[in-house]
Amino acid sequence: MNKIPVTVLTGYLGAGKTTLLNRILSEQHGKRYAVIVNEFGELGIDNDLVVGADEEVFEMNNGCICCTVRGDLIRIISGLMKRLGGFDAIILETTGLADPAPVAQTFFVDDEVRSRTSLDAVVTVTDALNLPAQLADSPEAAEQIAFADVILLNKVELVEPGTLAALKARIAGINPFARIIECNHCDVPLEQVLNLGSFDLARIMSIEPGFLTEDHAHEHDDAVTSVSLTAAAALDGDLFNEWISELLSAQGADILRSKGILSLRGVDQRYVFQGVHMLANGALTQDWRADEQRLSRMVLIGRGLDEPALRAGFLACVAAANA
Amino acid sequence: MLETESESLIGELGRIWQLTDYVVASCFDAQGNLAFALGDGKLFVVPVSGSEPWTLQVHRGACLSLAAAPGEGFLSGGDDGRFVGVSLSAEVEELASFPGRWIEHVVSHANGLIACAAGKRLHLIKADRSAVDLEHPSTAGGLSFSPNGLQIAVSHYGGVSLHYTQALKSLPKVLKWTGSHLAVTWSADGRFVLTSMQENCIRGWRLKGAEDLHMSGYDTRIKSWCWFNKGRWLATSASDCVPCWPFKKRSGPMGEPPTTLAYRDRGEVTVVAGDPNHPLIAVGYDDGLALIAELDESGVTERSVTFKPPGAGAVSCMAFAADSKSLAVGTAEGFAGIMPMAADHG
Repeated sequence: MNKIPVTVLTGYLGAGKTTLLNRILSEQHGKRYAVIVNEFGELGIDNDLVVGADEEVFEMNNGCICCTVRGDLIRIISGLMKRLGGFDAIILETTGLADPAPVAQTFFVDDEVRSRTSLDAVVTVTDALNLPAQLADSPEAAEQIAFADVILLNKVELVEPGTLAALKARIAGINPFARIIECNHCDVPLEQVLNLGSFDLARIMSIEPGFLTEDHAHEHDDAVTSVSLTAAAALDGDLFNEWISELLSAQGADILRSKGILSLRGVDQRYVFQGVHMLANGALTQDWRADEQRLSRMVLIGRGLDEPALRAGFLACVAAANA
Repeated sequence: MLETESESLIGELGRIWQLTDYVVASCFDAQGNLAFALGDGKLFVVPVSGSEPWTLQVHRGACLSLAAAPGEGFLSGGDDGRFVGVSLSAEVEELASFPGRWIEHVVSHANGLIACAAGKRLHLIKADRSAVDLEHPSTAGGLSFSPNGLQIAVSHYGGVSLHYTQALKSLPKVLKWTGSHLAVTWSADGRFVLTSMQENCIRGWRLKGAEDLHMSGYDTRIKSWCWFNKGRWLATSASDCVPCWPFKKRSGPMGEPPTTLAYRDRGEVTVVAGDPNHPLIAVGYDDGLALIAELDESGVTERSVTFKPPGAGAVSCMAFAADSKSLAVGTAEGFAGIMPMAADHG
């Protein structure tokens, strides 16, 4: 059974989520979308597959303190599965102040959700004019950027080029693996937003390191930052698993997202790894090509990350492998 | 075991249909009329009189819930936000409408009370048609009238609220337990309230005596459960067999292991339905196979008969008629059937 892709749409009120949603629903693409919204009635489109949801976040009783899930999402997906061939994909809109973590975690912990659907991407719509103020005012703005696979930088016509470049650098400092797309009125090609497979380990081919080399991340003292780690020598798989498991169980509450493509000693395939807080999964995917450098690359996004300690821990997995 | 279509007991002895969508629910009314609710919003009704079955478009979108109306006919809830009554002459009456909401739970009691849940709200309609709305702290995971109809249980995050149906203005009694409570049911004697939880377990409260129950060890969420043999047993899905918990004693299953029935090597039990009057359960699996198993209450032997071979998707619903004479079954790919049951077995 093909899994139904779910796109999560986050962003502040007024950033342009509804504009994007209306575009997705009204464009001729031959696909039917089920849409889960919070503000029912805002949408101008008559669609019998629009459902209103209350964001009901609850803690799982599984001993994992940060393991919160969206109960309404579990229910709605279960209900949607009762239509044979009724739709092709699901779009979930979150409220402006929502923390995206419970949504993403729902796809890790609920068996039924996991077996029937796949989280395709977290798309965050931001308003280029107001984003700096939002980042200054509330932690949710940074969290929504931290969680994104795609960031629509909307309303770029309202800001000066220099300001825009600085804003993009700041976004990349928070989240170096998200793709930033500049737009006005959310006029982006929909294939850059939908059906991306961002959480599909087999489709994660590379991690583009954004503006990492220039140290923009520290200029703004953002509460949420990222650490990018690379190693040219192969890692020891066991050591890496041990390190990452301990790291996520100890600091998972502060590590919002993690993603890695690793070269393991004695293994011809890429080991692809990703996590949301304490929940993570990994798998061997495509073979490394003969003509490419087997570079292990990993990005951690979170609050209060201790970069030297993380780098030392990561590199310890390498040194031991070659000892 | 290998079976072909010609060996299907339900095809030989009963009646089968290919319907237009996922069979969400099946239900007999008190007279023995049968309805199947479908994922495309239709109701398929099989009259007890033996006259031709008929189909009616009831919801725009999917039917999500189905119950017998008090007396005769059916109640249905849909993802179009409508709570409707459907009579045996195929008339639809809109009882309530909650645009943008899904009506996932509808229930009734023989005393004439009917209710649905719309998000956090319980909408209860009395026999005189007056309606009351009661809000809860989070979305209702399930509804259940107490056997005597004097209370209604609403499960939600953090526990269950019990409302007295004749004193709805007073504060509900709240049974608390951390976590997300989905379906809720009462034991036949009204002494226990049980919920199926997100964490693949059952939580139970003994209303007098303040002793709680906790049943775990399931593979997945318990999406189907049923009382059988006059409420002496609770059978549950969500495993490769059917754990049946004894409720014959005043202490319920406290300290007793479940009796397990209908184990299969591969496959998961998706639906269970209990014979109200005999120690029999119907069991449906994720590959479409359905069987009837008899529980020998001495616990020594087990007999079972497969009446539907694998195919047509997972079994998605089953129901026994109140007089135990018929059994209905539906699947995720639109198979529906009714199987006659011997009335004097047991």
